[in-house]
Amino acid sequence: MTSETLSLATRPLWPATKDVLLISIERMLPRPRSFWVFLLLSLPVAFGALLRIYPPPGLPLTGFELYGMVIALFFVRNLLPLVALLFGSALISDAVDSKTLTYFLTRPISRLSIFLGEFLAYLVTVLTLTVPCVVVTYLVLCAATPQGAGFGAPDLVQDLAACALTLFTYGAVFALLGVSLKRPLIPGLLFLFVWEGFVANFPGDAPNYTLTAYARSLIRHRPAEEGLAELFSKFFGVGESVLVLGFVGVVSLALAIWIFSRREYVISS
Amino acid sequence: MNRSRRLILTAAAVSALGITFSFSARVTGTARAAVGPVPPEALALPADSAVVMGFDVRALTGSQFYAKFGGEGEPGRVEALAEIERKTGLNPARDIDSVVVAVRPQTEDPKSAEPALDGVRRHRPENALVFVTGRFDAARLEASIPETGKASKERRDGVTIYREASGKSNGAVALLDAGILVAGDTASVDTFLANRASGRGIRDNAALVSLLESVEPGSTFWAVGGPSVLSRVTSEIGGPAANLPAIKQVVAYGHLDPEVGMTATAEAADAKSATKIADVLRGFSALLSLQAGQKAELAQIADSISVATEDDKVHVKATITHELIDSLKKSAGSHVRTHKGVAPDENEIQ
Repeated sequence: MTSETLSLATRPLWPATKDVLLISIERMLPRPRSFWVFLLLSLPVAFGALLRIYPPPGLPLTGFELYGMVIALFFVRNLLPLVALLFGSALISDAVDSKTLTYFLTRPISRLSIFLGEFLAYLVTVLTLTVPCVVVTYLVLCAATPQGAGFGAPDLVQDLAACALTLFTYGAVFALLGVSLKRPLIPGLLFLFVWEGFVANFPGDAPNYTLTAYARSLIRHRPAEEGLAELFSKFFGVGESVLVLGFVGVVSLALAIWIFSRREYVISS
Repeated sequence: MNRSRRLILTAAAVSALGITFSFSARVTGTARAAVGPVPPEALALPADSAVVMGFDVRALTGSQFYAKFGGEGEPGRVEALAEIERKTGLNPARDIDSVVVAVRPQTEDPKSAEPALDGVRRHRPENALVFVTGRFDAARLEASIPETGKASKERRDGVTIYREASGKSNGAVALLDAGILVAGDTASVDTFLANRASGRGIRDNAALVSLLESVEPGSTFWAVGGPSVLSRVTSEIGGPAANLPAIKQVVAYGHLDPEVGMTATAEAADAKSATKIADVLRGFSALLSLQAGQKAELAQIADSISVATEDDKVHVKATITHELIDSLKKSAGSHVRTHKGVAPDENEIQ
């Protein structure tokens, strides 16, 4: 078989990507890992419900302010990058373990289609787990308060977009880590909690080199920082943050695809 | 349908329902609803405001009353509007729709309190925050501000803030959107902007909300006040008012056409105090009637005031016709001329 006939036999990009996406979602979503991540993402809902049922006397925060703290500190700063690390870094290794990669590689589909399908499946999975939790957290904390559920409705939509962009960017970065390293989890955790956790609050231009500084800048109603973070925290314009996060995500994704399409995978039987 | 699709559809349905509910609450629910005469955009005014008052400037400047008595030196001239015109260059009749003023009680600072010249302890002035809606934008406002009032400009979170540049005062004007501005001292304006971002404001003060909701819809002018300012007012006025029982809260509102009408309800500590306040007001009305021999109009004013009590509340109603105000104005003019020794028609001759 010549190379010309091989290239003719390869399926077009989008139909092949769609097939990979549908198969990969089945592998990613109804799994114990997704269940535990969903439980973790649901914690603010339980916390909000408790707070509404047993409100502490003299709580100096409105429901919307509490929601702002949850979205900025719990979701965008800590949990979503962690979720991206868990799912993104295992994007290809899970496919290897479950033998779906063997199946894909033996079919007439390009490696670009395989990676894009896997990445889209990651996005659909994490958004399916995250978006309802953010919306229900908002409703639990804001509905039937003096401000009402309607007050922050535009902010809720912006926050969902910020969550999606955060998951896209971190997911692409960790997917790159996943295809580059054999054990990406430890370097990923170090990146999240040492680099992103500390450098983002350093004085000067250091926060410019972290993703979290841009991600937190997308939350318009973020709570005021305290202590050293108040003195040094740097925030960027929304347009600049979207551009930087989008650029880093696309470049990481392109690099990950490039590495994946050149890498040899030894599939054990 | 397989498991993954069911999960995705469930998540999408929950999210879509939640977002739809939030936006429908925004359109129809409490988030957008005004509190009494306070427009939704002004709900970020401080919750600890002691007095909140307002004018429907369009109704005021479009009224027959304003046409007759709104000129310079006339009884219908509203000094607050004249002040806005002086500071911002905005013409009330052309550019302004409504004004809401929130007055916060100033916390007393013993170090900065003014010295007691006459033995009476003086308080620092209250923080007034003025909320204006109308037809103006940043370019128009900048062009309108007089040269003497030029200010430094700052842009923050989509809000243009002008601060007094000479350093003589700490006044600030924030232009929120086209047609909405907030003016006051810097701290009060910053409080308003912080409230606007966090959803705090007047709604957090249930007592104030209840007072505002009792203002009659469509009133041209209105004011509500809590005890922190009212008790100070009665104690500082001196004379018979100083002996008045403390007033817990007041709601007042009124209209200008076809006659000037005003309704006020004051709540005292108990029914006995309410009766005492009503008696003082009735005594004042009786004094006006006694002077009817010198000025016939005073008897008409006395007749137009009605005072009634209901438990711990005192209701006061007054209705004054435009003709009566006109004749009071004329008699006041002739009184001034008599004192100056000018013949009644001398001005016209000159």
